[in-house]
Amino acid sequence: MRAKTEEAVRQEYGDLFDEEAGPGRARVIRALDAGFRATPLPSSLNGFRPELPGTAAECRISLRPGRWTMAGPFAAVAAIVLIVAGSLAAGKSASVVDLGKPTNDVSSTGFPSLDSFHRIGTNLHVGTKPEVLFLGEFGAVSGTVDGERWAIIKALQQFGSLSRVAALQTGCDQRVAGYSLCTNPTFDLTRARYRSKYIAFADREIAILRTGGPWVKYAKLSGQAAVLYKRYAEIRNVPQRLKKIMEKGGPLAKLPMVVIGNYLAVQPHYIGQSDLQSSVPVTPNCGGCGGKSETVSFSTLHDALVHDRTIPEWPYAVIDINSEANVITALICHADGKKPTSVCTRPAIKQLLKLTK
Amino acid sequence: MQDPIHDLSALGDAELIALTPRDSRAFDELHRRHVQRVYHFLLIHTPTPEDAADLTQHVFLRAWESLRTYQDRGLPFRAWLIRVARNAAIDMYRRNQLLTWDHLSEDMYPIDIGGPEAESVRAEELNQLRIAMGRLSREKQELLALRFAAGLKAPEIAAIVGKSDYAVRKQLSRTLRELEGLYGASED
Repeated sequence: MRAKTEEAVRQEYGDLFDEEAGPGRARVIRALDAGFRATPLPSSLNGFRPELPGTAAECRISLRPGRWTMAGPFAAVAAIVLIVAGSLAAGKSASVVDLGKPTNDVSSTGFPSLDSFHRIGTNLHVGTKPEVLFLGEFGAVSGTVDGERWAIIKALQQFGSLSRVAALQTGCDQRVAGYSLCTNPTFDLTRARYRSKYIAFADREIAILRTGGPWVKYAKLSGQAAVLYKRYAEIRNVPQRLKKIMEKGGPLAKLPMVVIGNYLAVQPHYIGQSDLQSSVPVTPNCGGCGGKSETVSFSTLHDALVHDRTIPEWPYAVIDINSEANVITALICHADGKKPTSVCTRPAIKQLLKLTK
Repeated sequence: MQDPIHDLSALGDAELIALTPRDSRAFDELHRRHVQRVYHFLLIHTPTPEDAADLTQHVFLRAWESLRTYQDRGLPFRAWLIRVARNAAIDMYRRNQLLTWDHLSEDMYPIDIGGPEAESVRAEELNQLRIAMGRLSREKQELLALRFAAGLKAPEIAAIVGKSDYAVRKQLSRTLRELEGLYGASED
């Protein structure tokens, strides 16, 4: 939807041009009008034919996409079938995010630290709960961004439960938000739901690099997330004018940006590009003669985490993800008052909590 | 048997409501007329557009079930519908404590970074407004949603939020004034 002309705005919103209106009123109203009304109506809302009475119809609305034309005695049976199918689907999602029991890994180097996380003035929260915010991107085939999602999930699962998470396999035919992209093994959290007594979680994937196409901007940030992003993170191919505005907040940094309460990191603490990718010599035993890059598969990494096994070709993947998950877990414990005790008193977490300020 | 009315679009909301028990197409027409406003209003109350769509369906289902209790006592059908939507959203607040501006619109945020400069500048401008709106109180944000997303006028908003027409006008004006300031400030 295109923004209206000033004349059209004055005609439709004449009541808002009162004596208190400043010189920028028309511009603000035009932007509000365009902004609020531009999102296209999804196809699921085309038409309404409520032929189902009572409970079955209520069941229907909890399932998507909406189907509005089930009638007669089949409706209740169909609703039950759909609910069971929904539960199974939810169960499937849960297994994808089951990344094994927490470990006491704190570092592959043997020196635990929280150096990548910095205290910031902002204390993110939703209501009374501290918030964990993940800003990432898709399609850069970035081992750091893609790897960090594993650690985030492993940490979050200790404080609540994630659902509607999809696995992304290694390859260039993966899909996120309708876009085809290349990726390392990772997760699509764009539709994720997180339930927790202790914390809130928000996933914002800033941009998507489409297979064979340019970057598209995907996430729409608001409030504190937008401010923090402008201050600490970077974006690709930004027009010069926009970049200048973004740079005002400080030096540009990198994604993924992770904020946990009042701690922020703009790169993973332990996870690196080589965790998921390795250079495999073309000719065996050829020393430093170079090779091709190979990426671990989703199932190999998932199985290794579930069973806490080292993968010979990617020896740091599991320990780095587990260590990173513990750093995130410790900072969540720091933010939420060390709850639950069963999580926050594990030796690794206690060790890391001593490093918090 | 009475002949069905072929051109429902020519009828007013009140006539369609009266016709609904006899002709299911009537509510379909009401849905067609108002679904976009309800959806846009609910976008700010839900974490994803899919959730807004679900909640919109829920609102129309609730409206359809309660239609016989609706009486036009100075509150037009579209305002009544938004009140149903607002109540549904409040229920959701209580459960999830949500209020988001993420879906304010696709146009409020850049769509294609690689696009022409003009598009980028516009997107940048809209983003500044978006940040400015994020600084407003929840009450003011909702007031803007009622006016711009739901398309309600001050008297209708007043009936929904339980304030006087004058108070709503005044608050809307002050909110826009505040936004003008914040919008300008975020540009500096």
